[in-house]
Amino acid sequence: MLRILYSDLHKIINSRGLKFSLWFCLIYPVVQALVLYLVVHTYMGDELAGEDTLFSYASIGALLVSAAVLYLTVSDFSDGTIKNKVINGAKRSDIFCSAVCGGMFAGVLTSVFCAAGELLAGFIFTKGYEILTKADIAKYFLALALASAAVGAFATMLVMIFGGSFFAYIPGLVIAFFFRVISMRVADKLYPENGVTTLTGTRLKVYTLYDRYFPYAHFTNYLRWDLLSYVIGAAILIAISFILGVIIFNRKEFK
Amino acid sequence: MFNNYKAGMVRLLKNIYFIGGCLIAFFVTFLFSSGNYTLPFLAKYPLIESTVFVSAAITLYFSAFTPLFMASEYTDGFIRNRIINGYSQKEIYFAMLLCMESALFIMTLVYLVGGGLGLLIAGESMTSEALSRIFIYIIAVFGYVALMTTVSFRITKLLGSVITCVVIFNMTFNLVLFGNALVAFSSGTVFKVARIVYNINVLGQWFIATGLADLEANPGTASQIVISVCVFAVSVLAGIFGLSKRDLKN
Repeated sequence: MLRILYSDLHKIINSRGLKFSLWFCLIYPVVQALVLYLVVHTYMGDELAGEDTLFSYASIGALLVSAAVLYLTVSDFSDGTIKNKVINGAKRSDIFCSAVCGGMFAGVLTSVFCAAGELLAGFIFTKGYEILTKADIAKYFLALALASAAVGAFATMLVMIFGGSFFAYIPGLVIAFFFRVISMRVADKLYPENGVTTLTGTRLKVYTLYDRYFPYAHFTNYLRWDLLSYVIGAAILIAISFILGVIIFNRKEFK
Repeated sequence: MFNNYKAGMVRLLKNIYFIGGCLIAFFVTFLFSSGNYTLPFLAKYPLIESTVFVSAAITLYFSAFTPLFMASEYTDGFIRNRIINGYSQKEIYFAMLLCMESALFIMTLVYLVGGGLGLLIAGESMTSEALSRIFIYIIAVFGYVALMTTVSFRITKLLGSVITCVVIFNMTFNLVLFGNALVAFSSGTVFKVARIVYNINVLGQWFIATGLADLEANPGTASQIVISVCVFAVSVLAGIFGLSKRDLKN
């Protein structure tokens, strides 16, 4: 397992796609903050607060992590690396676990670079953070890193399950988009702009559970729950990815 | 070109993802239009509005399907074989474009049949006004599919084209959210530009078709069609620009 993990991590660190994605993560928040700064500064004559820059990663995070993970994992199937690993005597569960660990690592790396970009944007274009303390910001980035790790694990699981066919390219990205729409809808219902939520009964419980524990819903521009909920949510999704993936991957036929 | 088109159509009609997509389009539209399933905020409107609303799925479907279908051009040396056979890359591009537009046409028909049947069972009928709204939106989707075809044809690696297409779709979605705010709060020249940008975006036109968008966001049917045709033309031009001189490495 360690040997495969080492080779996977080596591949991830040297991957051109991931490097591109990390550069994108670093630059995107800055560009977005620049546009916002121009609009707010020229149109309204107002100053930006640091909190206004903390939305870049929230809007693209899940999709970006899914894309990065797809890039890293799918090549294993297209250039026969998986078969080589199996021929070399590695256990299938080891191959799978190492790939998922790699996906989690890529997710965390993406979120760290985006956090750096957002902090940079906050430093250049804003007058400073008004409400959030340093501890709050650290907690926020930690929660995002956890969510990214979980999404990375889940997306890798999907690629590993469907690997070898054209279909493997699609589910991770489409699911990321799908849950983004659902999350927006849930947030809209739970935290309406005017007044309090009108939900009651089972629906309120389901919506709250989704919002509190589902990592795809954690890509928000402020923390809504305590850190423990984020840890539990991420742990559950990662555990599901491992268990489900190992069961299916062990029975998978390589074409 | 027509030989390539015919070959593409044979491949398309046997493609399991396309058949599956058409079946999903039929059943989902049927579920929504017959009133068996609806979204909470659509419940107070007539069923035809739900039918129009689900048409957004066509855009999402083609964002994923186009690169998958086009990818086979670059595997197993298909495109090289065709070039050896005397076809130019431009001809292959146009054949593929026609093929994808035919796929959209077929899916639209399936969607309309599903919607019509559902409405018939629910005891409502397809109004010509709603049909014209769907029609205008589908013209915009024709432009969008041309863009997807161009991206998938230009980027030879499947991975690159899939990620680019889905990212473009995500951007169109973001642009609707951003555009709604921009159209609502801007005025004068900025408003006019914002309205054009809003309509260049296929999901913007979809949002107008559903009737949920700001009334002012609609520049009029003629302008919408002109914008869609422009998107189509620009996409095709981008697709064929310098195509004959392109090197095929893989």
